Amino acid sequence: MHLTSSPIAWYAARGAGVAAYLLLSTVIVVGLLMAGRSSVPAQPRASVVAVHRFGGLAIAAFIVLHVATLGIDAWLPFSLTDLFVPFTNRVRPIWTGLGIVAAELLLALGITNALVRRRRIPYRVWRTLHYANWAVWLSATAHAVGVGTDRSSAWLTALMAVCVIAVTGVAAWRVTRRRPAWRVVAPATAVVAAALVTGAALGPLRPAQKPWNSATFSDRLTGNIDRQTGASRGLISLHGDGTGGQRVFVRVDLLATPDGISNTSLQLEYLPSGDRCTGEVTGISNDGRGFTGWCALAGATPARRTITGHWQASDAPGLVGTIASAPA
Amino acid sequence: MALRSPAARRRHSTWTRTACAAIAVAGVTAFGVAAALARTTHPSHVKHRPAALAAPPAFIKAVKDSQLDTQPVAVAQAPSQPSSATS
Repeated sequence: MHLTSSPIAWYAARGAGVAAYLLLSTVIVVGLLMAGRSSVPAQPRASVVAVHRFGGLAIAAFIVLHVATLGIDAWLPFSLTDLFVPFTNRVRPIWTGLGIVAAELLLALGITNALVRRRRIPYRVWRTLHYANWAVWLSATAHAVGVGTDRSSAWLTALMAVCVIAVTGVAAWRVTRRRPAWRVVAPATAVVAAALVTGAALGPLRPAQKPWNSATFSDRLTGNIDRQTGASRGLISLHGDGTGGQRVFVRVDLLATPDGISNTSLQLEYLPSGDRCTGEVTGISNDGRGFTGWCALAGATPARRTITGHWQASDAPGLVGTIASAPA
Repeated sequence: MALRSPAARRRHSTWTRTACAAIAVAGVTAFGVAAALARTTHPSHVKHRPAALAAPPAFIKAVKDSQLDTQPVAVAQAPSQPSSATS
């Protein structure tokens, strides 16, 4: 099922989720205005209903895209069970499960829409069932706040706040519109709901961000040292992995001559960015089991980093030690 | 509101199509913008195919040149005389 490790699928999955949530909120607001007899002026109800229905289909299209791209992407390896059975996922099962519940409930409500148009179910039953759209929207909001990758980014937090204000504000207006004394309830409800969602996204539900080209880290170093020799030149190379807070690939090359080291190279490749930091070795420890150097990463702040590595003596093949980085 | 005339019906039909198109455009735009923002704010994936780190080409060339210095150039040998099978 995992057809690609291309980042395009992963970005498309996230974009489709955001688009589906935005449209869902818009369609719910339109539905609430229709039910509150505050339809678009000068437009017949049938036109607004048609737009409301089209909005539902657009939501379904983006949900299908969201699920399909998650299915083919290898970044989060979801099985079919993970995608369609709520609360079975290994990644934040409650929050992911709420998204699946929202999608499947929306599908069920779509079926009731088709049934009421064909007069297979009474209008009263359909109307009662249609209130389940609240569960869809609440589940979708919880899904976005609880497991959305971008949930703590400023743009998505702002977008969710706008959606929550719109939906809860119009819903509260609809409930209180016949009671002038309760006029303040609608805006107050909207503000409180938006504050709750924003607070949750930026507070307890904030995702732990993985380091991205971190200038400061201390990793476990594993690797090997190779030697190539010629008549008057030799190459001593250390290549290995740094695993820990910031994953890196490491390579140190020393060009040796009979008079000593004539040239050096130090390279780090940061994961998952794939960006490279290149520089030189400035010192080698007396016991030959450590080095100090620097590298510069274009476009990063700080660009220049001090890199140190050392490892223990061992009879086993390969080396095990530590690699550390600090801003230069 | 009842649609009394064909002109009014056409007008409302146009409004419905325009509103539906607006929803579709809004959805596609939201999708594109959100995907682009997702890429910049939290990349998650490797942005380009990682390649194994290699020694600088100048270092490799220096050592290869040096290795060639140690290997004596093989003396050219005359091809062996062709011989025919004797029966």
